[in-house]
Amino acid sequence: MPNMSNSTSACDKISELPSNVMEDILKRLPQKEAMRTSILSTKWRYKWLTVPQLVFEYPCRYKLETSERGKLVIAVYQALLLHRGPLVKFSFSVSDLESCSDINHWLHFLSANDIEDFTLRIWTGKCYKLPGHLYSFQQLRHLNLYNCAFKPPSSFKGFDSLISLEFRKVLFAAERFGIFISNCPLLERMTLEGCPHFYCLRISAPNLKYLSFSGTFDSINLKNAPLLKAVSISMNGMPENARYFKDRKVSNLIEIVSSVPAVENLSVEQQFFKANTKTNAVMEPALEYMRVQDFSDCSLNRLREVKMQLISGVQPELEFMKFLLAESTMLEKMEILPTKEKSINGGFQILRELIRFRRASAKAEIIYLEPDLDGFPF
Amino acid sequence: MASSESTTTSTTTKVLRLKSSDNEIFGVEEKAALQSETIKSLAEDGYSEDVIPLFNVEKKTLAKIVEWLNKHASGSSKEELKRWDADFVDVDKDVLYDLLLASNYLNIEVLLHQLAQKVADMIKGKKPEEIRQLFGIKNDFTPEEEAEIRRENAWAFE
Repeated sequence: MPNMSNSTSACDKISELPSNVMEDILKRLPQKEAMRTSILSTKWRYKWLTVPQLVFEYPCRYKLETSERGKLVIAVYQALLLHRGPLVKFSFSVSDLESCSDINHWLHFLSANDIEDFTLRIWTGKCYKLPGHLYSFQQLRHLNLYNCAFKPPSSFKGFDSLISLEFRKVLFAAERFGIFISNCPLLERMTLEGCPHFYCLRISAPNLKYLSFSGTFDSINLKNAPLLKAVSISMNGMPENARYFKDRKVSNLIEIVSSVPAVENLSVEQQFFKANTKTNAVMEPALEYMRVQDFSDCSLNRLREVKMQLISGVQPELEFMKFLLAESTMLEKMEILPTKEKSINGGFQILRELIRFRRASAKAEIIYLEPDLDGFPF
Repeated sequence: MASSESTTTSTTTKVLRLKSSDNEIFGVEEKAALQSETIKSLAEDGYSEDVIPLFNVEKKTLAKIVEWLNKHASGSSKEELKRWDADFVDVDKDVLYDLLLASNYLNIEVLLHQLAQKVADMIKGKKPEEIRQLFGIKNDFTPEEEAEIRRENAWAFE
């Protein structure tokens, strides 16, 4: 029988692809599927073990059964044990964990590799205290943590190669964190979400270009971030933090925005102003602040794009937009996305106010975005 | 495709001449051609005035590669490129292997990633037997060996 001639699939070329090409293919598969290729043929048995990454990720709402969790833990140990060649990326995301000692062991093991990309997300349950091994990952370029305690020892000198950092629900001490950041000279992108309230965070980062912040704070100092171009700030979530909402918020925001030397792109999200809606008294300090400040040399002259998301048209929001329009000489675009309920009957009112404000930039365009009324979560 | 009349119009844009393993010559604007690290280093080594020989790429594959290089140097919008790329990698498996090997040899990282993604997408969600059938992989394990691999990787095979 001419069993080799019926179709192109008769000739197995894929198994002969160069190893770097094969790795490129396998690393695009979910970990389970990459591991399952071991059963295709003897040529495939160990191919997945040289892929320079191990990614064990469960979505945040997925509850692991006890038996499933046991198999997962064994799978991680096995993968680490059997892995060949360089391992540059390790990612582990699961809902609550029974014991921390396994992760501690893995981190210990990983510290002998040149890990560049590390993700650890414990979706629910107790906050995981990162062991000292993490701080010895000297090649680290990307660090993504969720629900962990980041408490580097005082001897820790930062990550020389770190480019991006994402911390969500991560415990840290603001002062120590500020020092840590200043010891990461290449850092370009930083996301902080839902981390505990802090009073003053000083960010000193010569290469920082993008900052996304969500949480509560008294002040953030960005004066030493000369290349910072895009800032996104929101006070979402965590109703228990509502008590921290202070009447100084608007002025805080203006202070932050005008302290950033090179900001070109600003996004402000929902609820930044919400706690202020009850009383107008809180407006006074903010307005006062604006009056006494001399903004003639403030740095809003690089600001090109502003996005105001999920706003409801309360006075502080309007004042803030008025301020930005009046001071941003290079502004090209201000996008307004109202909350769902506002868009039905209040959107026009917001626009009616906005249209009256003076604009320092003749090019400034105001764009009104319609929220997705069906799918929008708010 | 195999244009040697590339000297006609513009005088400012430099054209590199690439020769396939079966001796077909393709004229490609320098800007497009230099997306290949291999061509770039060959050009830097002094081949640029002359013909750059690409011993590992046949003309039918090189024609496709040149098409890709030109498109990606044309300044098309991201959306347009995305659509175009999806069509470009939608080819039969033999062409796909040839493109993979050629883009690897020519060191065109973006294209290599696109092709790898295409193969990964073909594997995704399939049972081992389906993958074997699709790519013509012969299962040379004994049932005992197969059972052993399944046991060893219980998490992956559950």
